Amino acid sequence: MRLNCPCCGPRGLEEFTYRGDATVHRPGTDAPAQAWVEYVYLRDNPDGWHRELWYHGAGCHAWLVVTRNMRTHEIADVARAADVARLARENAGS
Amino acid sequence: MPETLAATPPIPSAPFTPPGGKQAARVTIGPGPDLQLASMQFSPASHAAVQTALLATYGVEAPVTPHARDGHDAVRFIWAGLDLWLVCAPRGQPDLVAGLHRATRPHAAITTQGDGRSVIRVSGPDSRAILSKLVPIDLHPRAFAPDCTALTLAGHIPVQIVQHDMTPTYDLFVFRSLAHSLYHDLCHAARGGVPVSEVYP
Amino acid sequence: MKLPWKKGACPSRPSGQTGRRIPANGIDPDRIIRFTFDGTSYDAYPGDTLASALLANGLHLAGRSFKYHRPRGILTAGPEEPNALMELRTGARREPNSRATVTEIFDGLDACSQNRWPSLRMDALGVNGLFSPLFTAGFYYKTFMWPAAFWEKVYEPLIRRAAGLGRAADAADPDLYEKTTTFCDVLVVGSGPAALAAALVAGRSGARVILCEQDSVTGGRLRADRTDIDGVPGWQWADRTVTALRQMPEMRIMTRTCVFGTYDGGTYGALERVADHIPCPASGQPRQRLWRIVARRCIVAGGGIERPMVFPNNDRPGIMLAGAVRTYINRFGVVPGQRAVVFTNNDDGLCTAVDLQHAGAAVTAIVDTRAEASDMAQQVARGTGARLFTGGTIANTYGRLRVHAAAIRDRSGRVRHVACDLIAMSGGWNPELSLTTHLGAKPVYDPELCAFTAGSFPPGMLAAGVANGTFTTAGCLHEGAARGQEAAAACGFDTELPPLPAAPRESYGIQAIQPAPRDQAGGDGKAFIDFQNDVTAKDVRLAAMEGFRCVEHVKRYTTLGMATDQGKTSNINGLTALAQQTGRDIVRTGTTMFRPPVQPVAIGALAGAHRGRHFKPDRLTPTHEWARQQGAVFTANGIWHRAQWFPQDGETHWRDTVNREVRTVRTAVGFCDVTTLGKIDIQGPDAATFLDRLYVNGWQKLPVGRVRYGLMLREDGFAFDDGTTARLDEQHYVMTTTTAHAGAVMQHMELCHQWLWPELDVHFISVTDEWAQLAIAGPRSRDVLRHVVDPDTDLSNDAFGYMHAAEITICGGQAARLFRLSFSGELAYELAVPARYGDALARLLMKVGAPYGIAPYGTEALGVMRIEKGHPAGPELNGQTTAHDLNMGRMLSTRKDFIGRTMAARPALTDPARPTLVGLRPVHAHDELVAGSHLLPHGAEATGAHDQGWISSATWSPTLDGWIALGFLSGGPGRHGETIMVHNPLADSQVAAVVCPPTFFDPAGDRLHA
Repeated sequence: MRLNCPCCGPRGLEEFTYRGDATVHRPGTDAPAQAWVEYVYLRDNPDGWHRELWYHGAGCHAWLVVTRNMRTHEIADVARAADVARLARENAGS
Repeated sequence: MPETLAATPPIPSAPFTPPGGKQAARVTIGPGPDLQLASMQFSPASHAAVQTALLATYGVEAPVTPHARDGHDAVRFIWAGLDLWLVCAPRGQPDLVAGLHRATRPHAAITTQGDGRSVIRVSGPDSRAILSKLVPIDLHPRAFAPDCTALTLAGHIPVQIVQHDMTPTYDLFVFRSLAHSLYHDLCHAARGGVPVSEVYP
Repeated sequence: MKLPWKKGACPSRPSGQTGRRIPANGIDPDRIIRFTFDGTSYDAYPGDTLASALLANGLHLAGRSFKYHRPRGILTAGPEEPNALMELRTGARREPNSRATVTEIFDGLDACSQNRWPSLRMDALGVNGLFSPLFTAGFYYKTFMWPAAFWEKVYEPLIRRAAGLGRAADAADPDLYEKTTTFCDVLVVGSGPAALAAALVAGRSGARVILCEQDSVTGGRLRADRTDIDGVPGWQWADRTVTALRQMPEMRIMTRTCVFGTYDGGTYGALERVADHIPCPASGQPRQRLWRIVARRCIVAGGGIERPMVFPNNDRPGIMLAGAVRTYINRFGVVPGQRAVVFTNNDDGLCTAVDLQHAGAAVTAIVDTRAEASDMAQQVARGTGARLFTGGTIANTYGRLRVHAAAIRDRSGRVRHVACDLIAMSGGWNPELSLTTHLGAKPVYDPELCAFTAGSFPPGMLAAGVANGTFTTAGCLHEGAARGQEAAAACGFDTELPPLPAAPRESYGIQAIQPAPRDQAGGDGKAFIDFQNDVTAKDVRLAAMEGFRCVEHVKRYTTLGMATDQGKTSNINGLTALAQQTGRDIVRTGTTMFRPPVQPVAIGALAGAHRGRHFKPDRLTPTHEWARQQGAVFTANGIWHRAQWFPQDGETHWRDTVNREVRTVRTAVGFCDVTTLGKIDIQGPDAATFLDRLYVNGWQKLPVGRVRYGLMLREDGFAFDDGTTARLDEQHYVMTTTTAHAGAVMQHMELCHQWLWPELDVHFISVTDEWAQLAIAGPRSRDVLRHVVDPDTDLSNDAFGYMHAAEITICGGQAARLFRLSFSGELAYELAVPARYGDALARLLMKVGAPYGIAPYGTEALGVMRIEKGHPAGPELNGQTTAHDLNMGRMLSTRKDFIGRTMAARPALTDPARPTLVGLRPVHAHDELVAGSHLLPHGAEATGAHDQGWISSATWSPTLDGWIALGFLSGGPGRHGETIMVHNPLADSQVAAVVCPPTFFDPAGDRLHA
């Protein structure tokens, strides 16, 4: 498997580690316990496109948000997690 | 009276060349130049301010793509990851860390890395073929040229590769604690010889 | 029925007969080399395979089949060979199951047949044939089931003795293996007409091209057939083309290299047999090399594999694939028989009759299953003088160690016996399309070709030639050129198609064989489908009758296609048999999956150089060499090597050494290399805020020049790591982590910074390798330090107290960092210098510390002392304990957010009944306490129901002169003074122990603050 790191270019899988779901977001400190339990433990398992967090540990150390199809293994997009996070903040207006 | 401490190099100073024979690799593996080395980090928000300061002090901006760029007095800026650069300068020149602090304060984080990384230099007509045994990136001249850099693995060891010249010569920056192991792996790869199908452009 | 040939009376060649070869394109007739087979020495030519050399020397018996131990000969001339499996070489390099058809002969090669005892000709287990009615499909599932007790004592030992094919070597493999990665625009698999045409066009375009040929020579079937291209023999055209290719600067030609697998992302695995064809690799040279090829486009042009015919006793030595016979004649100059019968269902098989006659052999019969005689069949029959049996079939064959007659049934049903010593059979050709299927694409059946072709391709892959179902030479050249152009263009290299060389358009005319009528079906012999696993047509019929009708089930129930040849010559025939039995057409019957590797790959090649001592990298501390010179014993901490203890003369047991080191530190002074603990430099206006969110405790108020202990949790509330963080300046901190978790903490911090809190203005980087860090501990540590630290640093307790930190200089101006930290509980410091001076610093400390009795100490003594002080370490921070469990609940801040805060507050994680950290001392001081032991109430039965905790760390304490331990006990802090039972189920022992506070030594910390 090869991933196209936005900083480094296409690299083999051995340079990356997979973390998990990029669509769950850390609840605030005031959020109810159930929200935290879901954040820490519960995950959807979609048939089709999904966004996941990968880490280019043997490369530039960037965290990446990868848009991957869970059924066909096709990868549509790889973005820097920092860019995605900043954009989300800007859009949220906070 | 306290005595001055002597430095201990992590790999032998004499470069290694594999013995001759059929398919022998024409390559030398040895320590790279002894450089002052520092890391420089700054956020996108400080980007403009820092680049302006670097331009003023060193005559260049830090590269934002995986490349190395030379400024005044052989100070070299090497892209080294997200918002991170390695900066090197020859030994004997004014203190690099102090100079960078002065130029970029208060925006950039500077640390000394002169001992954190060791440099192993791999040079010779067969150095690409030998390096390819460990390094999984495309080193062909169409893909990688002098002043290109890449953060990747050499076998199981994380390295930063910078191509130095068209011999070709490559400098591998590696954590000092892993330099001995990387050096061993490179020499072993060199002893394995050049594949009989090797092509020279 | 009179057999015209007596058994064993076949004409055989005298040994050393290489002089009787005919001219051929693949051998060098001017040199003779010698090899040994089953102990006898024979001649061969350079270029020979073991198979061609055996045939040339008149040896037709090559092995014994797996189950029935039937005599078998060489069936093919390629890697698909199921029968001629040999043991090559001797000693540590001995290699079983090597196919004689792809083994290159070298001078001195030693080969043995397998699976026979005592000899190939006289195999005692040939009796298995008598039991054959028992060995049918599903044999493995039906027999040896009862009685159950017999399995271990009777059946298994018997089966082990009889089972298996060859013998692996007993000694370690002395050879080296390598791996490498290469990139290209176009990868071409194969080197026949289609592949060479593709490489030529793609190469001329300027694209980077790699051509991989698994054989030792290029040309593919052009070496086997007498085909002319552009007026010259095809193999000459191939040689010229390869010469032209070698002139291209971006063309890499790899022979002896098999592309064995297609992987995601345009990645291909290939195995280069660097030194299989020579007695011994040169010094340092690898035996084999694994290539990872990353290609933007891949053209699969690896040709095809011929199908055997399925008929009774179709497995005798001397019954070969028709295409293979041509290979032996034209490439190796060996004629495998003098009286041949050709059995075919297509025009291509007829070429063998022509070549046999051309080579001086007689073709007595051509048996053509097709209902109508094709033009070529009639022509060939006329030209060779063979009797043509249109619509005929072979009903049986005769000859134990070599075929000597065939029973031919003509279309009217009449049976004639024909004398022969060779039957060349062709059931048609299968495109070699495994590489197209590795990522899940399913092949589709082409009824005109009677074969499966690639239905779809993985991204970036194309096919050309026979591999793509194009069976004429002209078609291969045309298609190869077109694909080469297409592939190059897709990579941005445009080129024109050159004019194509003149080449024939051979006829094929294959017709599927109709199932034989019921009364003739089966005959009185076994009709083999899978030669290697001894699976017959009857086995497949039986499986279907028993309800195993799905091809995946039939495969596993009969083991068809599961041998080392992966069904290359059997899969399609098996499908056909299944389709016939179940009354479905092949399309609906389906086909099983192909998975990499296409050909066997040695595990050594997959490991490459990373084996044995070099399986993992070695991470060395700055004092490593010095410690080695001191005779230190090392231990591995992940990939780090750390000195565990430093034995001195007279010490016979490691415990003596460790006790001495502990005593030295506690009474005088010692030093230990602690460089391996992660060190992370953190800077920026938001550095303190970042620390606040990572650690459970607060950092905003830590003054410059102070260091503080910190605990980190995971987001699920469990303890993750701990360390100390020092504030060197307003916005400058240095964090330490444990050795084991340094990488994980760094990764965690990067996630938090990039994903959770990108708005924080903070930067951090590892400085673990930058600084050599030595812990200097003991009552005399300050005295020793005064000899090293420059006078401008005041080391008095008031000026530099416990938990102080500073950037200082030592040895006349050398930059350094000093931290007053203590893991041992003694007055202690950690001194950091740039790593290049670590070795010199250790030597200096030994020198200036000598008057104070200084000694180095290793990780073992470090461990003893921290247990004596009750400091949690790895065994306590095992990922299953919480801050409360560690008696650190009070550290959890209530005023700020931090990772794990909410989940750590879950009722189950704050339940006081949870096992909590305590100290333990045995009632009898010399009773050993073992980590992992369970803690039970005194007098309770040793069952799970009474389990109240466990011991995490235990050691003999020279300071307290007894065993001590740290552990987790339910309600522990409230039970100090209670006597409990320590139970070790592995040693089945019980020790009475007293619960106490975890700090065994200097609980007030007076020594720390000295």
